[in-house]
Amino acid sequence: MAEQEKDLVEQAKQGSIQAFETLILTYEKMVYNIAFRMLQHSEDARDISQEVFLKAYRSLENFDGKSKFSTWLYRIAVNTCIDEIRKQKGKLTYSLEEELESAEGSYQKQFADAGQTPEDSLLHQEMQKEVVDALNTLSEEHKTVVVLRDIQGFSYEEIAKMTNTTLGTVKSRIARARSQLKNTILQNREQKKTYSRQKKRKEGRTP
Amino acid sequence: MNIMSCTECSDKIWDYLDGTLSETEQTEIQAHLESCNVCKAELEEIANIRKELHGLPFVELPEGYHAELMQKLQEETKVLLFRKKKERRWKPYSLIAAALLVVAAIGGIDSIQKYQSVVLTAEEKTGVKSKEISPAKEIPAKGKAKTEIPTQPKAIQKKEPQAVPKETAQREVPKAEMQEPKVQEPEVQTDTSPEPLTPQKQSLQQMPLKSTPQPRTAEKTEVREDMPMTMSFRSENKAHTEHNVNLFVEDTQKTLLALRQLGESLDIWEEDAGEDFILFSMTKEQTSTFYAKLNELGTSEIMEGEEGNQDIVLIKVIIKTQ
Repeated sequence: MAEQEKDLVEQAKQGSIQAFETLILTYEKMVYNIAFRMLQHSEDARDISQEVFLKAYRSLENFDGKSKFSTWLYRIAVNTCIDEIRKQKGKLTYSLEEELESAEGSYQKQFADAGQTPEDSLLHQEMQKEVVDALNTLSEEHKTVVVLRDIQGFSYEEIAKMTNTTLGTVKSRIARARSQLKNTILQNREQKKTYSRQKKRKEGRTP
Repeated sequence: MNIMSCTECSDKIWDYLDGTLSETEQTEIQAHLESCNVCKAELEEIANIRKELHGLPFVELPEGYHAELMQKLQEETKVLLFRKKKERRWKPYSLIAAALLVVAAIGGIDSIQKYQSVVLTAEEKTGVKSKEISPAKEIPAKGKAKTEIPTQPKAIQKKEPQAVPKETAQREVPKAEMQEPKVQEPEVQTDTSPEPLTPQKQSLQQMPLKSTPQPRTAEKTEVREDMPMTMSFRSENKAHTEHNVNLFVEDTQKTLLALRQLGESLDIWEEDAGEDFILFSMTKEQTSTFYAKLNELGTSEIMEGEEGNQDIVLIKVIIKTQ
């Protein structure tokens, strides 16, 4: 398989778009999923993940074959997603809308995006939403390692290559990220409890 | 006996659940958990979060994803091809001219008679057809496509520089003829619809994309919107502004990489590159930023160049060690 891939890479470098197509077919879904989990938005994920492949195509000559093609490709994916997150952060109105959406609870859209099925229990949906919401509050670096490790299942070594850092950095980053994630989830739960208590009081019901 | 603290335990819970702890650590944690309710609760909490994360579905690609992506890639190749061809068009002539000068300088006028062999050598190096084969390129030229057609025959045998020496003059002619019928199609199509992707797609399947000249004819307007280049190749003389810049640095490899990244960040095109140089093309407006950034990489020395009247400027950065 590795030899086949090497040939495809060579052909793609020579300008064969068919070779490039065959190459990326294996990785399209993963790149899309990385983008999807990083950006939490299906339309963005579609655009950004396609941009990843375009970038890879443009800079094929920079691929020296020393690492795996997938690693090189995923690294471009990670960087592109992080850039996009940062870009979006700069647009305040966007994040405000997101906040409102979550608060009002447009559950339908959230769950459709998360790829859940109606058969999933309500509790399960609730818990997933909890985790996903908390994930979105993490910094780009923290979010990246959690997405890559705990959602997509990459090894620490692979993650180090994909983020262009060391094994040590990955491990410490993920420890902090997970801790942050857990604390956010607990905080949110507390807030929800307070909110519902207040709501009930307003509506004249005793908690 | 090693008594594990709650902090230590809490730090390792994820790895414990992942199964990446050593045997000893696992036993320690299990022992601690048996007697510590706080950590037990923590374990359950983390296990739930972990389960949710792991359980997030691996989503399917949205409908039409691959087709859309391939379309975007096709567009990309057209853009890349256009830029490469534009650069390739005039470069070989300067090489042939230079070769002639060298020959004349060394051997006098007599040796000019040997220029045929020199030209052939230059052709092999650059893969450009000599003017002897020009009749083939006149045939498909029509009024509308006049601006692009003259360059097509050269583009036919243009592949990556490494592949070029293998091509001979003989192969070039049949390929030129092969181009004719296909050239007709896009022209017809352009009259009726702005995006004749289907006929192009078929022919794209048959040939390595970078040597297909047709897309340019149909996509002429689109390309123009993307790039500030003008397409008036009315005459054969180059009208590009071209500068050479010597860049004095300590580490060639490192600088080459930095140069590439610079190019990427400024969104300028890398037309050609070698062991110690990179040829960039950019708009006039981009040059000042480029030169400014270049100074950050080393000591730059701008050499006298050719002035042209095009919007596109070609800058060749030659890396020299101090």
